[in-house]
Amino acid sequence: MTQSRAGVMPSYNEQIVRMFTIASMFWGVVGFLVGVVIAFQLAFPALNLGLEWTSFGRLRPLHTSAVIFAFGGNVLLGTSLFVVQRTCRTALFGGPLMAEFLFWGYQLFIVLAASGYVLGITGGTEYSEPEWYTDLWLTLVWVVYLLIFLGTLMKRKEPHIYVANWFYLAFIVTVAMLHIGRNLSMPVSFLGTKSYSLFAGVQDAMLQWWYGHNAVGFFLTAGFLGIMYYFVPKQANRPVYSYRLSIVHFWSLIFLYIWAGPHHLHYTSLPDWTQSLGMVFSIMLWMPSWGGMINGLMTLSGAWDKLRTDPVLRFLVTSIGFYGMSTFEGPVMSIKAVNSLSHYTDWTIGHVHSGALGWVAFVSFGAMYYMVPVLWKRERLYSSRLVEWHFWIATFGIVLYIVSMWISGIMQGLMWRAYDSLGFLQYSFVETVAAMHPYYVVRGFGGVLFLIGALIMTYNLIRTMRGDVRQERSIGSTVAVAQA
Amino acid sequence: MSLLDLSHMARELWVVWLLIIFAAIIFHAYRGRNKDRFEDCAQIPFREDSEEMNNHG
Amino acid sequence: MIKHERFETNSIVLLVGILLTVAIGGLVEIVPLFTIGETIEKVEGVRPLSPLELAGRNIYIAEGCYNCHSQQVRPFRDEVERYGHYNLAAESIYDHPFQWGSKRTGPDLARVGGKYSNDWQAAHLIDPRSVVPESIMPTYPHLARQDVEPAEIGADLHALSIVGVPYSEEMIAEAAADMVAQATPDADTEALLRRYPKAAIGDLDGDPTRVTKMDALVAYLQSLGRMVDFTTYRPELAGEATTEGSQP
Repeated sequence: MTQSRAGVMPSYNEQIVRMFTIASMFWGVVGFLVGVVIAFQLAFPALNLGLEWTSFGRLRPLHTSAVIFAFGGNVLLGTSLFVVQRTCRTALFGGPLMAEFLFWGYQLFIVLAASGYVLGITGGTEYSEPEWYTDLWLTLVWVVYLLIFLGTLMKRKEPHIYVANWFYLAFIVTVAMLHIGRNLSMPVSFLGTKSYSLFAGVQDAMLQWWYGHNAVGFFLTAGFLGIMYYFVPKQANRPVYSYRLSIVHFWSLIFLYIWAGPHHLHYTSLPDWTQSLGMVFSIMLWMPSWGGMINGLMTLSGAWDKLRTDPVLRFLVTSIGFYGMSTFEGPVMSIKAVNSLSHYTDWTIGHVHSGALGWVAFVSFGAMYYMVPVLWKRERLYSSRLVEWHFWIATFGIVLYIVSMWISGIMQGLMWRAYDSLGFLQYSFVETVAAMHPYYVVRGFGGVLFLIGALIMTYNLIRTMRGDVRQERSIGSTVAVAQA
Repeated sequence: MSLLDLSHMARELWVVWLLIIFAAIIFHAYRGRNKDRFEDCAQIPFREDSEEMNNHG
Repeated sequence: MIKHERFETNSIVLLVGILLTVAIGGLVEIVPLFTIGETIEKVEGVRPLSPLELAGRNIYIAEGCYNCHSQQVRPFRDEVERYGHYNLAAESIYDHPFQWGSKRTGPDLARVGGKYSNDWQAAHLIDPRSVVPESIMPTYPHLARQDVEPAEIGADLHALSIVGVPYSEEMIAEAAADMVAQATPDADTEALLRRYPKAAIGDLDGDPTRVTKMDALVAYLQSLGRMVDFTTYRPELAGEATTEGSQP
C-alpha cells in the first residue's frame, strides 16, 4: 500500500512525506481510541480494569501525548517537509538518510514516551511527561529536524521565504527552546529512569505553563497555521487573502503567545503581577488570532461556492472557524473573574478539545486529504462522499463533546461555590462528581463519533493510496472535487 | 544594573516597546512600495505547479 | 533601520528574529520569580519530605494522580471552607516538580493530611467505592502488594539535595533506616521525628510486617498541607505579596 512511483518528481523527497502521512493516520487512530477509553473511564470507573497499567492516571498522558506529539507531531513534520520543498522548489537538505533518521527517531521518541507512561515512568508535569532519557533523545532528533528544515530554506531557489515556512520555523525553534527549558532535570542515576526537575514550587509552576501554554501556541497553533497558509490556498486554488496581514499575524502572534502562560495559574501562589501580565497578553492575543482567522477565511472570498462541492475544503475552512472560536473563548477564560469559575473544571477540557479536534485535527485532515492523492500520484481521492461522511460525523462528535463539557464545567464550578440558606456549602465534593455522569457519557459518545470519522478517513486514504476510485455521484452540481 | 531593576523597567515600558515594534511591522507590511512584491510572494505556492506539470509528462 | 526584507530572504536572520521575539516574554515573567524576594513568603515549618513520604510522592506522580487532583487552594471563601487555608508559595519550595495540578476531577489534596485516618486512606486507595460509593477514582490494590525499596531512596535524597532541597548528609545516610522506621509500629522514631517533624508514623497500610507502596503513599498524603501552622500565620508579617509583587 506504500508503493511509490519514484522518479516522477526526482527533485523532491516525497517518500519521507508519505511515511509521515501514514504515521499520522496510525497515531491519530491510536490517540483518539485512547481518548475514548479514558472518557468512558470517567463515566464508568470499572473500565480502569483494576490493573496498574490501565488506570486513568497512566492512560491520560498516553492520550495527550499520542494526539499532540504522535498525531499532531507527525502531521507537522510531514506537512512541513512537504511545504518547505515545494515553496523553496528544492529537495530536502541532508538527503534521504537524514530524513529517514528524523522519521524513525521521532517514532522511537513516541514509543519511548508512551511505554514509560504505562509503566509509571513520568516526569509528572502535564504535556512534558517523558523522562530525562526520552527528552535527551528528542532533543537530538529535533536538532536534526531543524538542520533539515533550515538547510532546505538556505538552498532554496525561491528568493522569498514563503510565510508558511516562517510559521513552521517558529514552531521548530520555539518548541526546542521550550523543551530544553522545561526539561532541565537531575537524573537520580544514569541507569535509572527517575529524575527531579531543576526547579521547584512557584518557579517550576511558571516554567511549566510557559512551556505548556506555548506547546499550544507553537506546536498546536504556529505549526498548524503553517499548514493553513499553504493548504488552504492550494485547495481553494487562490492565493492567501492578504500576504501583508500574514506578516503582521506572524510577528504579533509569536510575540504575544509566549506571555500567556500565567493564565493557567490565576489565584494560585504565583505573584499577582505575573498573573496580571499573563491575563493582559492573553486578551491581546485575541487580535492576531482573529487576524489570522480572517486571513484564512477570506482566502475563499469570491469562491465560497467551492464549499458546497468540496468537502476537503470544508474541513479546512471549518477548522479555521473552530480556530476563531477557541481563540475567542481562550482570552475570555483568561479573565480572572471567568477563570475563577472555569479553572479546575471540564470547561477547560472542552475548550482544549474545541481547539484540538476542531482546529488541529480538522486542518490536519484537510491537509492529509490534499496530500495523499498528490504524494501517491492519484487523479483524485477514492471517495469524496466518504470525506463528506467523515466531515459530518466528526463535526457532530465535536459539538457533543464541547457542549457537554460546557454544561458539566460551568455546572460543577457553580456547585462548588453554592451555599445553602444557612450559609453552609450546599454540595459535598462527591455530589458534584456524581452530577457529571450524564455529561461524561455524552462526551464519550462524541469521542466515539470522532473516532469513527477518523477510521472512515483511514479507509478512504488507504484505498486512495492503492489507486482505487469509487464510482459515485459527484457532490453538488459540478464534477468531482479533489483537484490533486 | 541588576536583573531586578531591569525587570522593573521592562515591565513599566512594555506598552511602549510593543507599540513601537507593532507600528513598525504594520508600516512595513502596508507600505505601498511593498504591495506588488507581497502579491507576488502570495503566488509562491502555485509556482511549483508549472514545474510539476512538466515533470508529469 | 533593519529592513524586513532581510527576515524574508535570509533564513538565519529570520531564525534569530524569531528567537529574540519569543525569548522576551519568558525572560520577563520567569527570571524575576528567582530574584524578587517577595515571591516566596517567610514562614516556619516547611521541611523536606521524609524518605517514606518522598517515595509516596514519587508513586503519586507515577500513578498520574495530578491528572485529577490539584494541590492548590485558591483564596476564595468556598475553597477555604471546603479545603482549608489557601496555599502559599512557601509550601511548595521543595516540590521538584510542583504538583499544583490543573483539574479537579477529584477534590483538591493540598490540605488532605490528617483529614482522614490511615485506615481510611488505605481502604480508599484499594477500592474507593468501598468508602465513597459515588467515587469514579480507579482502584490501586497493587500498591498494597508491592514493597518499596529502602536501599534506593538515599540516591533520591542525594539527587534532590543537588537541586537545592536541604537534605543533610545525615538525612541521606539514614534514609533507608528512616524509611523503614516510619512504617514500622513501635520502631524507635525519635531521630526520624527530629529530622522530619510531624511525620505520620506507625503501620500506615494495615500490614505491619512490610513496608509497601501503600505505606509510602499514605505517609505522603498525611503530610500534605500540615507543615505550616496557620493558627499563628500572619500574612502581613510573612511579607506576603498581596498587591504588585514588584513593590520594594
